[in-house]
Amino acid sequence: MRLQLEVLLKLQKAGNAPEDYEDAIAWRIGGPDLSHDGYPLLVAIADGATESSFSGLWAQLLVGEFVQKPFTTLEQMERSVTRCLRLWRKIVGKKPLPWYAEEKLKEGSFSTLLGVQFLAPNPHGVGKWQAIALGDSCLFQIGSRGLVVQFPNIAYEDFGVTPPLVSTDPDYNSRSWVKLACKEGLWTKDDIFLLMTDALSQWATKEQPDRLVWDELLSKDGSISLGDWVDRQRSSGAVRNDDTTLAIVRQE
Amino acid sequence: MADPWGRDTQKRKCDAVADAMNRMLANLVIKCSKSEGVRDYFHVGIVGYGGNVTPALAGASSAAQLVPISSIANAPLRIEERAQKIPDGAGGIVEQKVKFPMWFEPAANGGTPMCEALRLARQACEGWVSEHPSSFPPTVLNITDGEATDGDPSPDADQLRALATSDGNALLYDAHISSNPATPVEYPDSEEGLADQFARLLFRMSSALPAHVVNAGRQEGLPVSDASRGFVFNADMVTLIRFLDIGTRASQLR
Repeated sequence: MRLQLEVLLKLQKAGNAPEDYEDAIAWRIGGPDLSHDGYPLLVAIADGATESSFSGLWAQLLVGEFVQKPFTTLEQMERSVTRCLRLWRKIVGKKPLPWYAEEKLKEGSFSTLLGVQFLAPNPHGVGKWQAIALGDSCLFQIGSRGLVVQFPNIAYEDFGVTPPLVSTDPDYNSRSWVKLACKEGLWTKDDIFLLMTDALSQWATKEQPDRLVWDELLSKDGSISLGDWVDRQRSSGAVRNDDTTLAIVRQE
Repeated sequence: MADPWGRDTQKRKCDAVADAMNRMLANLVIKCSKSEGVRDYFHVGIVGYGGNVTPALAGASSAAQLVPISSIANAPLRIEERAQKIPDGAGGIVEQKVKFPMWFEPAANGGTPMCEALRLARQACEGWVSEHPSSFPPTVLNITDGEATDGDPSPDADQLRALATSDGNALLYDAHISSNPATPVEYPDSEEGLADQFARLLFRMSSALPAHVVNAGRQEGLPVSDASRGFVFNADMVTLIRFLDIGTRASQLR
């Protein structure tokens, strides 16, 4: 058995063009200690902050770094963010900017980050996962009886517009690292993992006590695309109008 | 308008008003600025009222015209460089050069036809509300240095605040730039202690801050309560620009 990742949805905020999408997702199979065919599976998602410039780029750099050099501790993450920052500065410093873009750039770029490593199962079919997160992009582990873990464990009413964020400003980060969260757990063949940025995570959190919510997401019968379904939820106010990303990890 | 400003007597009141307007617009533009340019999250109209009530933005064909924020971003009259003091992250303060675009020059014209200006603002908002019935309601920032000279502005303020989209009523926020050297006041929740009769009138005209603004203000250490009004005395309202919600933003961690 082998876990595989499928990106189900990358949808920009309603009213925006597809190129305005500022979430990011990256994945890779294998790592420095590759010891088993197909493992570890590395997945990261990020939500570039709407109110900062070059935040889509920042989000992409962060997820790319995680899947190349996965980290599980603050010290490792600080080193990774420093590498991303060097690259970010190189890219954004290339062209002259109008006055407003110059002023905005001084504020820096900001993004959430959720990185997850799925390690190979043991002979009994039980594997380990490790996750690290800053902000409100969430991992949901669903077992045969419903929700097993939500990470980070954010309540519906605590989702907002100012989550903890990874910044290109080291001073800002030094104040936000206290919010960094790490977690690990076990997975078996029946488990499904969903990685979602905040709009869908918040929706799922509200509906979470009811297993129906997961069925609704996972058992689309093809009569309506997931994108159309999200549009409907946005229109009814059930899902916040924001860039939306959904990826699923499950058995082949 | 040519009188000295109470908070800084080296400055005329008209300088303080022009600064407040320019800073407000610059913050709004920067808020909407992205790597590819400025996104039109807002439409903006500006009514100048001194001797007359006139369109205050170069290029606007009428005072009631709203234009996308990107067209404002690209058309300042000039851009100055000013020094700004910012925290250095280690408990100190450093001076940083910032670009300060100017759309308005100070003008001491005499007369304060506020009633007419509020009526014009309402006209502009009426058209916008009918075209955008589900959007966040219009926000009107009234920056004045003196009492209305064309009557009691309260009825016009009431009519303006009565405009609504499905997301709520139009918001009227007032800033009083005064010669009175009384202590600046931000978002009071009662008119007690305000410097004069006119400040109290503006307080009553001002909308209550919406719950999301009160919450955001509390998180960032502003002295706000559930009953706070969108009124400041000899202070600016730039913080209210920060709380206009267009999506995820960095909180002001301190």
